[in-house]
Amino acid sequence: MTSPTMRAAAAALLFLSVTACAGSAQKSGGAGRDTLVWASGAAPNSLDIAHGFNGASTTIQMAVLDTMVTLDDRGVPAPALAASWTQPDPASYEFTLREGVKFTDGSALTADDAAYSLRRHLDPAVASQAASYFTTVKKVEAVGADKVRVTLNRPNPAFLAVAAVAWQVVPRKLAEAHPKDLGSPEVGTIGTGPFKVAKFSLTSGTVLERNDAYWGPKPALRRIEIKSITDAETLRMAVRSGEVDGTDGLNARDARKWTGLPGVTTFFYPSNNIAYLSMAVGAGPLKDVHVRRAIAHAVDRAALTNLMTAGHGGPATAMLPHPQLTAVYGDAVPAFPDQPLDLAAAKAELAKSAYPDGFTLSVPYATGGDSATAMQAVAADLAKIGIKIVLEPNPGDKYMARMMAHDRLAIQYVDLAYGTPDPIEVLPDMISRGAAEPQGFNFSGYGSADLDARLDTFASATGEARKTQLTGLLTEIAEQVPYVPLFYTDNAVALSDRFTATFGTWRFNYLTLVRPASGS
Amino acid sequence: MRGALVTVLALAAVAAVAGSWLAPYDPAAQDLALGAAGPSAAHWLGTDDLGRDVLSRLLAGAGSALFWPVLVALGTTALSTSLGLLAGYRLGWVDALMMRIIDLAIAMPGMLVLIVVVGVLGGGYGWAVLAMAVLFTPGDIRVIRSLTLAQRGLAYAEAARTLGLRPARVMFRHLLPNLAPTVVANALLSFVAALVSLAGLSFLGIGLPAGTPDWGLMVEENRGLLDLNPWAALAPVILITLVATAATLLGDRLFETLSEGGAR
Repeated sequence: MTSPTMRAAAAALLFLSVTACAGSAQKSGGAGRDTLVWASGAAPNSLDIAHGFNGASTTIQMAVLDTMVTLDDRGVPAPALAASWTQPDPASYEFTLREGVKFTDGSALTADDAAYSLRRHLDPAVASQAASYFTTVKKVEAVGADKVRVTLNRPNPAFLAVAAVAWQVVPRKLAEAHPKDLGSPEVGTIGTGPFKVAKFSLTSGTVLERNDAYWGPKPALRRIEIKSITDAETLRMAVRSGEVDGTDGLNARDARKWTGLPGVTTFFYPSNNIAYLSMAVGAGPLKDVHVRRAIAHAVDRAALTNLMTAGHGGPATAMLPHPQLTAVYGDAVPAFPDQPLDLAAAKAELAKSAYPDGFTLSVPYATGGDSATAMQAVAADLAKIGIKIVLEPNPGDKYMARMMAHDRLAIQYVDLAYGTPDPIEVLPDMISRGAAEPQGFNFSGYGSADLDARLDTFASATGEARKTQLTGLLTEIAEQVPYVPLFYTDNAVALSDRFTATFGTWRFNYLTLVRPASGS
Repeated sequence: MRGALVTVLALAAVAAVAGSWLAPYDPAAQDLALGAAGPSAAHWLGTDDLGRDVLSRLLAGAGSALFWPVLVALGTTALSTSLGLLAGYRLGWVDALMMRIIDLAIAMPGMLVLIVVVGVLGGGYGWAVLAMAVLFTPGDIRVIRSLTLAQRGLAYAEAARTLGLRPARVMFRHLLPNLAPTVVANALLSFVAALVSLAGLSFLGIGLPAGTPDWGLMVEENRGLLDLNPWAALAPVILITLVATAATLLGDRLFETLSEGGAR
C-alpha cells in the first residue's frame, strides 16, 4: 500500500470516527428500581452556583443544596430553610430558620451559615456568577441563633424570587475556606438537601445518594447517577436503549422523535424562556428603526415557531417569557404594538429607511445548534425584501465568546431561560446600558439614561404602578424594535416508564421529583 | 469493472457541472410548513427540516463536494511531483533541506491544523483547501523522491545527462513519464482524501456556511432526521462513499495499467 493509499484510508477512518463519535455512549446498566440513571445534555462544571450558574450544574445543586425560600407551583415564594419571614419595611426582610436542620456532615445549620451564603455573592473575591441577582442587597446579618436580616438598597419585589433560585445555603466554614473552588470536584459541597454527593467528576459523572436525615419529605429515590451526553442523537439512543432512565437534554423541536420512543414518556411543561432576534442598533443599517421594523414584518414568526417548537411552545407577543407576563398581568396581558408578517409593510418600512433597496449583512451563528436552523429560516425571509444575510459559521464556544464580548454584533438569534417569575430579572438584560457592555446580555445595545431611570422605578414599584411601568417599557421595546420576540418553548423531560414525576415551571429541583412508577 | 468505476465518476462529474440545472427544485427554497418529510412523488428523497428538497440539494451540492477536492488533488500533485523530482534528482543540500522540512510537516496533525486554520483563526473555505493541499504534499513528495532516486541511476537517465541535457529537461521529459503511474494514482488518492476530509470538516460545522448545498454539510445538518427522513443524511453519505471508493479503485487500476504499459 502506498502512502497516499494509507492517507486516503486514514481520512476515511477519520470521517467515520467523527460520525461514530457522535453515536457512541458507554453502557452502565444494572440500575435498581430506586436508582435513577440521569443524563444531562451538557456537563456540569461546579456544585456551587457562584461558579456553576448553568442548567447542568444547577440541576445537581438543587438536589443537594436547599435555598432559604422556594417557589410554589404558581411561582409564589414559599418557605424552605426559612420557615417564615417578615418584612419590617419595604427594603428589608427578616427570615426565621427552620428548626433542627442539619448539613449532611452532621453539623447544625446556623443563621451565620445562611447569612454568609448570601453575603459571599457580594464579595468580589468570590466573583460569583449569581452576583447580578443580588445587586440590591446592601447588608446581610445573622440576628441571634435563628434569624437572618437582609437589608436592601431599595425596595425590590423580586428579591424573594431570585433568592429562591440563587440563595443556596452551605456551611460558612467550608465556603469561607474555598471562595473560588467551592463546588469543584476537589472540594465538593455540603448541603441540607434531599441528596448528598457521593461522587462528582467532570469526566466520569456524578453520583447522588439519598440524605436519610433530610428535614423534608423523604425522596423516593435512593441513588441518582448522572452522566452528560452532549450529542442529541446519542442521548436519544441512550434513553431508547434503556442505558439512561431520564434526561432533560432534549429539545422541544425534536418532540416528534422522542414521543414515539417505546417505554419512554416525554413530559412537556411551560418554560420560563424566550427566543428572539437581537438587532445591534449602534451602527449600520440596523441603527435605522425603519430597517428594524421591516425585518420584524418580514420574519414569518408563526412558521419559525412551528419549526422550532414542533407544537410545544407558542409565539412570543412581547419581550418577556410568557410566565413572567402572566405573573404581572394575569390573564389580561395587554396588546403591545406589533409588526405582523406583511411583506408589503416590510418593503414600505424599508423604503422609508436609508436602505430602500436592501443591503447585505454578515451574521455570525453557532454551528450545530438551533441558531443555524433559525438563522437560515430568517435569512430566507429577509431575502424576500432585499436584505441579504451572509451567514458566518462559528464553533459554539467561539460564537458565545464573540457574543459576550459584543464583537461585531449584528442580528443574533438568542434563546434565554430565566429562573424567576419577575420581569426585573429580564428587562435590565435587554435594555439597560450596563448590560450593553461586554459580558452583558443587552446584545442590541439599546438603552438610555431615561430607560435606566425607568428600570429603577419599575424595580421598586408595586401593584398597578408596576403594571403601568412594565407596559411602558414593553411598549417602547415593541415600537423601537431592538428585538423581535419569536417564540417560547416548553421544557421537556424524557423518563423511562419505570419512573414518573410531576414537573412544573417553578419546580427547579426536578431530580427530587422523580419516583418509581407504581407497578414498575 | 473499470467501466462501472468510470461511469460513477462521470455521473458525479456531470452532477458537479450541471447539478444546479438538473435539480428539480431550487436547492435553497424552504417550505417550513412541510418540514422534514420522507420520499414522495414530489420529493424523491424527501425534504429536510426546513422543507428543502434533498435530491435538489444533493445535485447542487455535487459541485461543492467535488470541485474543491479536485483542486486539492491538482495542487498536491503539481507541488509534490515538482518538489519530489527536484529533491530526488538534485540530492545534496536541496534534498537534505527538503526532507527535514517534510519530516516537520509530516509530524503535524493535519486535521487539527485544518480546524485551527478554518475554525479558530476564522479562515474561509478557500484557506482550508489551500492548507489541505499543502498538508497532503509532504507524503507525496517522499514517494516521488524515492522513485526519482531509483530512476536517476538507470541507463536512460545517465545517457540523458551524458548528452548534456538540462536538469529540468531530464526530470520532466525523461524521468516524469516513468513516474506517471504513481503520479496518476497519487492524484486520485489525494482527491479521495480531500473529498473525505472536507466532508469531515463540513460535518464538524467548520468551513461552509449553514444552508450551503454540500454533501458533508448535509450529513451534519440532517443527521438528526434519521427517524423522520433518513435519506436526508444517508444519501450524501452513500454518495461520498461511492465516489471515494470509485476513485480509489480506479486509481489502483490505472496504476496497474500504466505500470504494465511501461513494463512492455
